[in-house]
Formats: sequence, C-alpha cells, structure tokens
Amino acid sequence: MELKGRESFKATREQIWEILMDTPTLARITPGISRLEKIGDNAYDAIADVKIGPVKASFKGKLTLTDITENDSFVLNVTQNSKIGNVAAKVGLNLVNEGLNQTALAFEGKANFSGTLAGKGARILSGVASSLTKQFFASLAEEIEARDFPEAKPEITQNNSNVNLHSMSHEIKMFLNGKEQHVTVESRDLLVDVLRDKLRLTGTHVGCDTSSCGACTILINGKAVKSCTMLAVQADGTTVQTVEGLATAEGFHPIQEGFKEEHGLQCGFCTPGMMMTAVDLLQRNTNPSEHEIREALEGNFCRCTGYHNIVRAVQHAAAKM
Amino acid sequence: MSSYIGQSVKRLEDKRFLTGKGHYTDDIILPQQTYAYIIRSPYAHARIVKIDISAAESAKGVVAIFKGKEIADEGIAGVPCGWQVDFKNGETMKEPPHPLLVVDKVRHLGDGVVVVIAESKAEARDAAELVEIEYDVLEAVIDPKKAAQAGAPLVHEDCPNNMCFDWELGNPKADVDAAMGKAHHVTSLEFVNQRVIPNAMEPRAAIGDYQVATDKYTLYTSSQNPHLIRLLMCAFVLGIPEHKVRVVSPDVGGGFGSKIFHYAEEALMIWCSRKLERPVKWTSDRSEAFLTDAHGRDHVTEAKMGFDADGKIMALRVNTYANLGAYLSTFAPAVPTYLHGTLMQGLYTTPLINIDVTATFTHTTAVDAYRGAGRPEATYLLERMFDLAALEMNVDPAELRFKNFIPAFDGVEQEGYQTQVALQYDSGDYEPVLKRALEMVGYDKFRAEQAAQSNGKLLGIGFSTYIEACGIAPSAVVGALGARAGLYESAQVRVQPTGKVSVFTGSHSHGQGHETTFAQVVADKMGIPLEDVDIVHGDSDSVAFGMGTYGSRSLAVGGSAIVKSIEKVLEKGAKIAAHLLEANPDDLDYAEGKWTVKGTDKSVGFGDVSLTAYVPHNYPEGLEPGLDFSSFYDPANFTYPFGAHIAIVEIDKETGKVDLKRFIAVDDVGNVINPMIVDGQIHGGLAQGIGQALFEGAIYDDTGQLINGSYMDYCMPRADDLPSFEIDRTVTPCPHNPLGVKGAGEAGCIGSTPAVVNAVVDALWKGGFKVKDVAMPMTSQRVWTAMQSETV
Ligand code: FES
Ligand code: FES
Repeated sequence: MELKGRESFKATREQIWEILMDTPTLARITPGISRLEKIGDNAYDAIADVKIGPVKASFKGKLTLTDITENDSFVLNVTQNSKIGNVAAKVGLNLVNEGLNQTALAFEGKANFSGTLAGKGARILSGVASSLTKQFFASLAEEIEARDFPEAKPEITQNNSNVNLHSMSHEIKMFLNGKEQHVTVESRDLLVDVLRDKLRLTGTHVGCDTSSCGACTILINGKAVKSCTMLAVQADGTTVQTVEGLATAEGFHPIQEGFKEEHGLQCGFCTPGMMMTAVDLLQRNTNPSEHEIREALEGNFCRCTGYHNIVRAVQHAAAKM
Repeated sequence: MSSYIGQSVKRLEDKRFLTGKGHYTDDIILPQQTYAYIIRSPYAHARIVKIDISAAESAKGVVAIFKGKEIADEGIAGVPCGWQVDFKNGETMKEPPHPLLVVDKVRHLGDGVVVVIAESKAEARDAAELVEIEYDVLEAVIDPKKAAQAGAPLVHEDCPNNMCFDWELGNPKADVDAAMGKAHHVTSLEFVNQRVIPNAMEPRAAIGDYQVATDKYTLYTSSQNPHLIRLLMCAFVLGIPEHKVRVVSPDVGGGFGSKIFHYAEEALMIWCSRKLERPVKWTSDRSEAFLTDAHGRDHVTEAKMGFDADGKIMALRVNTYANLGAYLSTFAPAVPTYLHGTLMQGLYTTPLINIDVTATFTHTTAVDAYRGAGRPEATYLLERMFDLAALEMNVDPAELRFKNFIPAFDGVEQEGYQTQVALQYDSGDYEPVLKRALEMVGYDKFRAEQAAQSNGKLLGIGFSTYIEACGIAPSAVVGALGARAGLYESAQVRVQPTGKVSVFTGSHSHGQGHETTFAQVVADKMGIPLEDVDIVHGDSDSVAFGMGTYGSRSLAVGGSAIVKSIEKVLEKGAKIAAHLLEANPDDLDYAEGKWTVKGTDKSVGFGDVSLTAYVPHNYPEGLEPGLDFSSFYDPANFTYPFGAHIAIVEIDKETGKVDLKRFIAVDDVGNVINPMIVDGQIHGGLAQGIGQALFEGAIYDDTGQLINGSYMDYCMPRADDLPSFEIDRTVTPCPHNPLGVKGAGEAGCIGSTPAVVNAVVDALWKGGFKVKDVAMPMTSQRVWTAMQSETV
C-alpha cells in the first residue's frame, strides 16, 4: 500500500523537528501508541493498539530512523507484529519550508501487510492509515500551539551596495510533476521563466506582462497559480504541477480528454493554463454549473474558441472525475 | 463513398497541445542563441536628437547594440507593402519607407529605435535601461479624417494631407444621388468603426539564425505566412538569396490576421544574426504587442440609404476615411477598398451604389487585416442601416430584409449574381438562413415577451444578415485590383513506397485544425485510413511554396490544390494498376483503396501500386517511377459565405450595463468537411465580433499615447462575459471548387458585431428612449449616457 500525505503547520522546521525527536511527546501524540521506548540510537520499541474494521489488535515491534538530516528529513522503518498479521513499512518524512513560520510535513512510502491483515482489503487498510494520519496531524498541530513557540523574524541582511541583488543565486528544491527537482535561480527570476528556459518545460506559456491572461497557470501545492506572478525562489519547497505532469502512464487526465472530445482548443496556446485552472476548479467543485465554470475561468483568456467548447470540455471532465 | 468528410473527427494535432508539447517559436532555444530587446519610442511623433549607448555597451552580457542608421547605411529601406491602390486621378499610391529601426524620426508610439542584444533576456533589458535617447516631441494626429485636413501635422513630409490614396467604386455619384433624391425615405448614419487590437494569445516572436559555414539563413517566426515572408524579406528588404533562406512557422498561437504581415522584427533578427554570426531571438511582450502588432478596423464613415415606399432599397452612398496608421503594413491598402467597398451590395438587390474611400496616415500603429478585414466594416455599415431604417420606417427589420434579398441562385443552373461593386457572387440562397434563425429565436414569442418586460430591464433584439468574399482569390483578378502577389495555393502529395501519404501544403494552421481537416479530405479521396496521412506545413524547406492562411482561404484554395494533386496521383496509379492487372486503365474503378477491373473481382491495392511505383521491376513501359505530385490551384472566383445572426440583449436601466442573453447564428459556409471544427471557428469569430460591439477598442489620446495598451485596460471578452452560442447552418455548395467549400474562419466575426449593436438600440427604442445609435464599444457608461440624453 502506498502511503502519502502532506500537511502545513505554523512553525519552523527546527520547532517541528524538536517535537518529532522528543520521545515522550511523540508517544503522546501518536494515536494508539501505548508504549514507546528508546532502545538505542534512533531505535525504539513500540506497542500500539489499533482498530481495523471490527477487530482491535495490539501490535508489537520496532521503529528505526535512518537517513537522518537534521531539521529536514528522515526515513522511518517500522516492523510490527500482531496476532492478526504483520506490518512492514518504510516511510520518508520531509520538512518543507513554506515560508516564515510555515512548514509542511510531507511523507511518502510503502507498507506491506502479511497474515490475516493482508486479506483485509486495501480500502479498509488505507482508511485506517488515513484516519491515523489525520489524528496524528491534528495532535501535532495542538502540540505546536501548546508549546507557543516564539515567532521567527525575517532575517535582515545589510544593504551592501557591492552586492548585485539581481544576480544573487539560490538553489531551490521543488517537487515538480512528482519528482524532486533542484535548480539554481537568480533572486529576480520569475517561476515561469525558470520552468520554460531553465527546466525546458515549455508547455507553460507567457501571454502577458500584467498577470491578466492565465496562459502561465500551474498548480502549486494543488492550487492554481499564475507562474508569471511568482518569483522562482518562492517556489522553494513546494509541490509544483505543470501541464506536462497531467497525463499518467494510463493516459490522459480527464480534463485533457474533455478538451479533446469537446474541441476545447484551437491554437492550443491558452490550453495548458486553461486546463490547470479547470483542475483547480474541479478539485473544489466536482459538479460545477455552466455559470460556475465561466466564473472560475475568467482569469484565463482564450482568443480562439469563444469559450463555448471550453465550458463543454470542463463539463465533460467533471462527469468523468 | 465518403467515411471521413462530413464527420466530426477529433483533432489529430490535439495531443501535443494537451500535453504541453506544442512547439511555438519562443519555445525554441538554439545553441549560442542571443536575446534581443528593442527600445521603442515613448512618443507618437518626435525627432530623435541624440542616442547615447556608451553606458549600455559595457554592461554585463551585452553582445551588440544597433541603431537604425547602421541599417540604413547598408541601403536597407525597410519592409514593403504588398498591395497598391492608386489615387483616383491615376497618381501612384504614396508608399513611404517603413524602416526596420527608425533613423531620425519616430512616427508612432512603439516605433523601434535601438536593438540591444545580450547573452540573456534579462541582461538585454538591463542594458536597454542604460541607453539614453533624447527626443524633440512634435504634435501628432490620430484621427483619419482630421489627418486629411489642411494644417494637420504630417506623418511623412512627402505625403501631403497625409493622404496615401483616395478611391471610388460603383455607379456614378450623380446617378446614386439622383435616385436618393427621389427616395421615399433616406436613412443616414455617421459612425466610427473603432480600432481594435487583434491580441492573438501567443505574442509574436522571431529568431534569426545565420550560419556562416553554409551561408544559410533560418528565420523562425510566429507567422501565418512563412513563404511570403521569405519572398518579401529576401527580395525587397535584405536582398539576400531566397534559396539560401529557410522560414519556419512552427506552432503558432493564433493569428486572426495580425500574423499575415512581414514585420520589421523578422528582417531585423536575420540582419542582426548575420552581423553577429549567432542566433538572435526576439519575443514580444504583451505591452509591445499592443503597440506593434498591426491593428484592425478604424474607419470613420458617413452613409445614406434610400428606400422607396415599399421598403425596397433604391440607392446607397458611402464615404469612408480609413486610418492606415503611420506606415503601410503588407495588405493595408486592400482592406478599406477591395475587401470593403466591394461588399457594399450585401445580400440585397440595391441597384445603385457608390463608395468613396480616403486612406490617410496618422501617428498610430499600422492598421491592416484583422479577422474579416474590411468585410466586418462593410457588414456593420449595411446591417446597422437596415435596422435603423426599419426603426425609422416602423417596419419589422426581418421583413425589410426579406423584401430586399437577392433571389436564390446556385451558380450552375443560374448564373452568379453580378453586383454593382465589381464582384460576382458564386452561389447563394439567403432567405433560409434568416428563416431558420427566426425559428431558433422564437421571434413572435420574443416580441410578446419584450412588450411585457417590466423588471427594470430593457430587452432588445438585433439582426444581421451578412455576406463575405473569401477564399481569396483568382490571381489575375487580385492582380488587376492591385495585389503584388498571386493568390493561389500549392500542395504536394507524396506517396511513400509503403503507401503512406505525406501532404505538403502552403496553407498554415494556427488553430484551424488543418492537420485533421486536410487529412480527412486526403483519406477519403484516396480511400485510405486517416492514420496513413500526415499533413506538413509551415516550413519553406519542406513545402514548395505557399501563400499562407488568411481570408478563410485554406480549405477552399489550399484544400483544392491538395485535391488536384490527389487526382494526379490516382491517374498515374491507375496506369500502374492497369499494368499489374493486365487491363486498360479506362476499365478500372478506384474505390476504398483499390483499383478493380470493372465487372470482375480482379483488383490491386493502393499499397501494392505505391510499392511498384518505387520498385518498378514489373512496370509500364515509358512511365517514370515514383508517386509524388505537386499542384498549384488558382481559384476561378472568390467564395461567398453568408448567414443570419441574431442577438438578444438585456439592459439594466439603472447602470446601462448590457447583458448578452442569447446569440443565434445560422451560417452557410458551403460544404462542411468537419462540423466540429467549423462550429469552433464560428464560436471564436462570434466572440471577437461581440467583443468589438461590447468591450474592445483602442483609445489614443490627442498626443498619440495608447492609453489602454495592456490587458489591465483593454477589455477583451472573458468566459463570464459571453453566453453559450446557438448555432446552425444551411449548405449552399460553392460551384467553382472541387470540394464545394466556402470558408468558415471569419464568418462569425463579420456577422455578429452589428447584431449586438442593433439589439441594444432596439432595447432602448422599445423602452422609450429615442436613441438611434450607440458608439462601440457599448460600455455601461455610453449606454447610460445615451439614456440620459434621449428620453421620451
Ligand atoms: S503570463 Fe499572463 S497571467 Fe501569467
Ligand atoms: S485555443 Fe487559441 S487562445 Fe485558446
């Protein structure tokens, strides 16, 4: 089973790290844990009581942390045994800087089940996993609030006239179309230029210089954003999806299919931005009316289609999603 | 048997656009590429006093900086005009030079002054900030009518009264005026068909790439017209050998006319690349596009239409001032004349027509063809006058049209219709389109609803029944009318040895879906699967020649050239098949991809014949190997699509806001190959035509500043400004081309604008406001103001 999630918290990476490394606190906020004991460097004994469907089971086993980079990431290895079966999991956790006092905890990994557990069906197991994750995230948020960390202040750098701010370069990291992407950018580089010229993802277009046309729309942390309106450095640590990341190995995303079936594109220039905006809409509203579709797309110009078939395309996708 | 023609085949080109793999000019980065930034004039009219580039030259990343003088010193005068319209008295049209960069004087906001070339886009911009230009600002003239008045500032010293040409067409003025004098009712209207800005979503871009080792030039350009650009640039601008020049128009993000023309930046990039021996790329900003893409429309017109007591038109008299901007763009002179004056007949039997056009230079961006080009202006005039006359004479506007329609003619049994203004219509049947539109709108019911309306809103209905001349055109005719080029199209059909077919067309697709429509035609005519056909366009190295895409001509002219080549392929194929079948070619039938001996089951397939053509072991004596034919198709006439558009609007009495409630369009574009694509073309055209009526319009102040030169200020229709459209069609085939098609690219834009204005005037009039006209774009402010001044 794939495990994946992400949640943002009002804290710095250092503060969250502090909580995650504090064994008693971790035992307290992790749902179901009845015992957590440090048995060595980065290794713990754990007992957890978990309800799976109608069955309540007690799991016993070991947790180890590997690949630790302080304040940033570690890999959690879990082996747990119970009378209804065994779990082996490996999950990478990542603290992503989303800005001052804003950090996301992202995890991604795999769990394997054996014994009766394996027969429970993926739907039940992933239901359990997601409800445990939710509880954990909620307790972590409470814990952060309770600790009342001091707010980090922006770093003030001396204005040194010898420093050319334009050419100051930064290495940033994004999760771009499902992969980790590092790239060196200048302070003043717009995200759209970095995507197009540095990373050569030219599906994202530039149609204006006033943030008015939407041709450059991409998804950042799942939300539609005009990438001409954002500096590349602001994308550090975010999850970015461009039109190139819409289709999967199985084929077109429903929105791509909708545009094709309903002739929602002519010259194709507005199309990537239009589709990304539509995906954002359909995530929020699975069954939008024509009026809602037109309102949602009003930040994106199309000069070819008169929007008529674009509306049909979004309706087509809504029906498929 | 046709299995693709007439079907809404899903577009073959879509996949690359949907996955972000389209290939537009700005997506290209060549090895060693440099970046150009063009410094443009911030004034409409000024003398250049001094240009200081010293600080910029030493800025980081700068490769070179060029001024207009360096170009002029090489004897390069600038970009030419492709159409000549002489003065009424026979004097030659005034054709002032249009330099790549100006030397001593700027003539419109955005005129190019200096080009800065650097290693990166940002460095070019940084360095441009360091260039100092001193201007001596002069008085400007913006209005085309004022420009012709004595004492107006001159755009070009050698063009007195800023006149480019004057021109007249139709019956003698005296005859028209005499008839007008006898008319029972005369409707008069003075109006401005305002300047609009095309705004294709992909801004123009160009890369010049000169390779010294091969002495070859490549120009990548966002153009509708790569071959013509090559011809003009080589022969008339730079004087470089055409066979050493390749022009590529890869995927192009919309054109609507604005990318037909040969622009200064194209030749400039090639010139710079030759100097630097490195590729040089320029990509327009949107703000730059507002100032440098050719604009559309901008006519100031007075018209009179006389009717007899029965409501039959007796005469039409038109006087137009056409604004050409500061320089002549490639087709500019043709727009107000042969694409406008020649359409004054409309769908009506008007016996006497005279149109007089004065074309002037002003200190504004050049004006040229924009979707419809001249025909929207003609339609606007006729259709506004029709609804106004109906209102003044208190008759129904639909009835007034029925009374004046030209009777049906198919161009085969009945001759084409000879107009009073030079053209001969090919085929037409006008009543059915209006009848169908009235049916769709539910006309009687609507009028009852309108009379009962009482929610503080005013309901109105507006009509437009238009004709257009497209599929341009017979070379001899356009030549006689002043075109400096032929207007045929070329196509090569290359059958590969395996029986797969590559088609090279001179038409260029930038949204029209040629890769699908043309493939449908080829697959059907050759009886092979759609997947076996590939359409190649937009590259002068692979396509022999092309006149490009505009004037709704691709299918009518380009498609016909393809059909001609297919006929040649099948004729030769029949000879090979006959040899293989040991029969006479005349005894063979060709259907579903095979030749069959009539009345037998002996047959040979297209694939076998193709292979035999390239492996000619068992082969007809004296026949050349290969199966590959080119054709040039020069049409016999223009084509004449027509239609009826109806708009229904609701006006908020408190604010004057116009809400377009419904839009009905019934168009006749001849035979239809792909209904889905034709519908899409109509939709897009409607949005642009409605855009002009309600939202769009360039606003210049008296000093020549374009005060709405960005998307923050220039209002283009957005998704929530428009309703879904209700469309249908009738089919009157074109009698003179093999596909019977007429063209669909411009119809929506030509018919829709006056329908919306008519609807607004109808709403106001029926609501008790004696308003006969509202200037476009009909903003809330304008409508509200009209209501304040003209209450019953
Ligand atoms: S490029 Fe126009 S909104 Fe970003
Ligand atoms: S498809 Fe061309 S701009 Fe939308």
